[in-house]
Amino acid sequence: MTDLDGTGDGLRVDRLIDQAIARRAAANGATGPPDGAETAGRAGPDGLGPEEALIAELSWLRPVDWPADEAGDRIAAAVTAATATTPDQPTGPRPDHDRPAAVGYLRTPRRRRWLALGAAAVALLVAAVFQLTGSPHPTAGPGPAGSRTSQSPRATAPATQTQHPARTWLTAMRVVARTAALRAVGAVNIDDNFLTCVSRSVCYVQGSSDGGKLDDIARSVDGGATWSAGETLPAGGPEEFTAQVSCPHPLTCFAPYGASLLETTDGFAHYVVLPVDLPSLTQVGVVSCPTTLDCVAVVRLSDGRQTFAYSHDGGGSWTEGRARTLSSGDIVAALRCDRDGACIAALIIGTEATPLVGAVSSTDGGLSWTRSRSYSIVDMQQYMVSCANGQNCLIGSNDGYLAWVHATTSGHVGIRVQPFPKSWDALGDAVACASGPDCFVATSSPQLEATRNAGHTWTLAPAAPITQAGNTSDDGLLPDSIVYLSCPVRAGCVALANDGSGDQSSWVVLSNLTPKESS
Amino acid sequence: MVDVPGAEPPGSHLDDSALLALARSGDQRALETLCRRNWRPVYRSFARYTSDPAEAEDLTQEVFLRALRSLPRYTDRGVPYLAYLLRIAANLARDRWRAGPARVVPVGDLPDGPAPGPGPDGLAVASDARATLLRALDQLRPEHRTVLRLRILEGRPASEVGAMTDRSPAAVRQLSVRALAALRAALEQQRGVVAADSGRD
Repeated sequence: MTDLDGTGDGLRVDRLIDQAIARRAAANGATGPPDGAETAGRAGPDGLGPEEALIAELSWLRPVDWPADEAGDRIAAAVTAATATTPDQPTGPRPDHDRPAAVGYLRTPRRRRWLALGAAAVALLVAAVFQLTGSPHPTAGPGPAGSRTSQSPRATAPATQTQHPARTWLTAMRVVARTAALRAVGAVNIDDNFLTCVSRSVCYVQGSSDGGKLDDIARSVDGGATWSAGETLPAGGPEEFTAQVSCPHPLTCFAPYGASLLETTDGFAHYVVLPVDLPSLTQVGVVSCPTTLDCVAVVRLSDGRQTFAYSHDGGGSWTEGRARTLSSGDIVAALRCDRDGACIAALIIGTEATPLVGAVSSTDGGLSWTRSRSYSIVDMQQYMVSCANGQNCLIGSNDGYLAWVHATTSGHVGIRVQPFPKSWDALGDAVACASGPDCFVATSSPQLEATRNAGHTWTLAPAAPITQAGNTSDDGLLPDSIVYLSCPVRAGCVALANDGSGDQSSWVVLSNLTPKESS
Repeated sequence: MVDVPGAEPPGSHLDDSALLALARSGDQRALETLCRRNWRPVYRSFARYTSDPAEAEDLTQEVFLRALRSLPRYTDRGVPYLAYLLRIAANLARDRWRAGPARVVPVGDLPDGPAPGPGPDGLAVASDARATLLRALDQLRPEHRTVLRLRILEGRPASEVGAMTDRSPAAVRQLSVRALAALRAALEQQRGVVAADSGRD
């Protein structure tokens, strides 16, 4: 049966493994392995051969029974690092990669950002979600531009600064392989605000037309190659969107707009405005609608409070969440809910000097929430965030840290903070997750790093050169850096990058996905 | 840091007592070797409490950090260092699960009769078999463990495993064959050890 090169044996064993995986998938939900899978390496009672029985038993092990070797690497590295202090060896990007402190990725539009950069770049970090005049956040005041970069505490801080030493991860990630490069697939005029791909074919951006005078939500149904303008957004609305759209179906979506929601059933070709009928509400911050009827939102009230609210009739009526979970200074960087009632919200908290990350989770569709502990991120100038589902978020700081947020089915929410792997040697530009463990980080190299196991190992996909222009744009972003990233499936992402032409409304669309069908 | 995940660094031929002496004098390699040698049993001691690998890893790391903090006071009496680590792990688990919310939430009505499936004896046998299998896995070369884990436990196709490990799909298939053969041999060895132990008892 075995060929000279062993190919036949390899294929046979490969089939046995596939069969074992299929059996496990078919029995998904069962409480344990079927009879016969507990006699490793011996013939089982149901006639499995020794090899097949061994594979079957392996297939029924739990991940917690059989940890990856990298777990030992991380533990050993963390323990040895705890014995060492490295005050003179910053682990961040090279100085020549440093750039003026920029902005959070839920942020003000670029053209307005230019006006602000001269005064307070870092302050934008804390003004991301709610653009309210007189925000009560204590750190919203201006400061010297670039001061965070020039006085970076990273240069003198120990290698790790998380609050919980047991959750300090030092050498957690390795580059293990390369995957396909991003390629340019199209171009779009946008108002620099968000990119949301709800499938490998259907994506949304805040579009811009008539020289930037009119805003809409533009859609692509071919993975970003071509874009269709949507109905012009209502006059008198907020200056900008502060969050991504939420789509229970590819063309049925909700988007916060001032004190209202926009609802569409045709991909924002048309929409209706749904006022959110909560007393003293001033603004809807972020919204997540796992179904066409169920929505959870973060809303700001006239007394400055933030709170969660939920609707079970498609946004027609709203109820405020039970407990006061959020403080007025919290930035809800992302919110995501699932159909089963699991919700998670990633928080940026603390002060400009000591930024923290945290999270809250719910298991009852936003009625009640559990808050995590807070974790410091060293010198976080700019944050990036993505929540793949109602239990998992990834928060990144542009200069070198990732915070993995995970809520258990019982609602306990924990955070694991780890630095970028040293091999990246770059700033982070954007993060996006397709599932809890399947996430991508676009770096300033520019490259796209992918993980399949929540950051334990990484693959590298070099982004195709976007432009030959050598100068940086006015706000310090490299012309070829990825600004928005959305990864609807674990196979890859769609990204928006400045095309380097100097026209801030002209962006190139990159993708390493193949659209399957038009929707 | 060694390049191969799970591999022990130089100095791994020393016994725990020698490594502890070196670690106390500040030798980080010795400390790293102690961690790499002992982390799996500690990790698995938490597997009975949690099904979350990240949480188990977190707790394992905490055990070693606690052991590190108490290293200056640790007295080597010839007892395996692993026993000391497992005692810390047991204390940590007790403190954590006693302080935390109840992890078991009854849902629905309790069944009237015993649930179908193996009884206590059967479960004990299955548990022993799994423990033997896990010990055999620990004996494998790192690349063998990795390919079996990615291919079988994580259910990734050979092409994806190949992309992750810089191998062709055919090479992954062949490595799987060799890894299973090595695992069978390790299992036989483990069963021999168990039989010998039983004979002594």
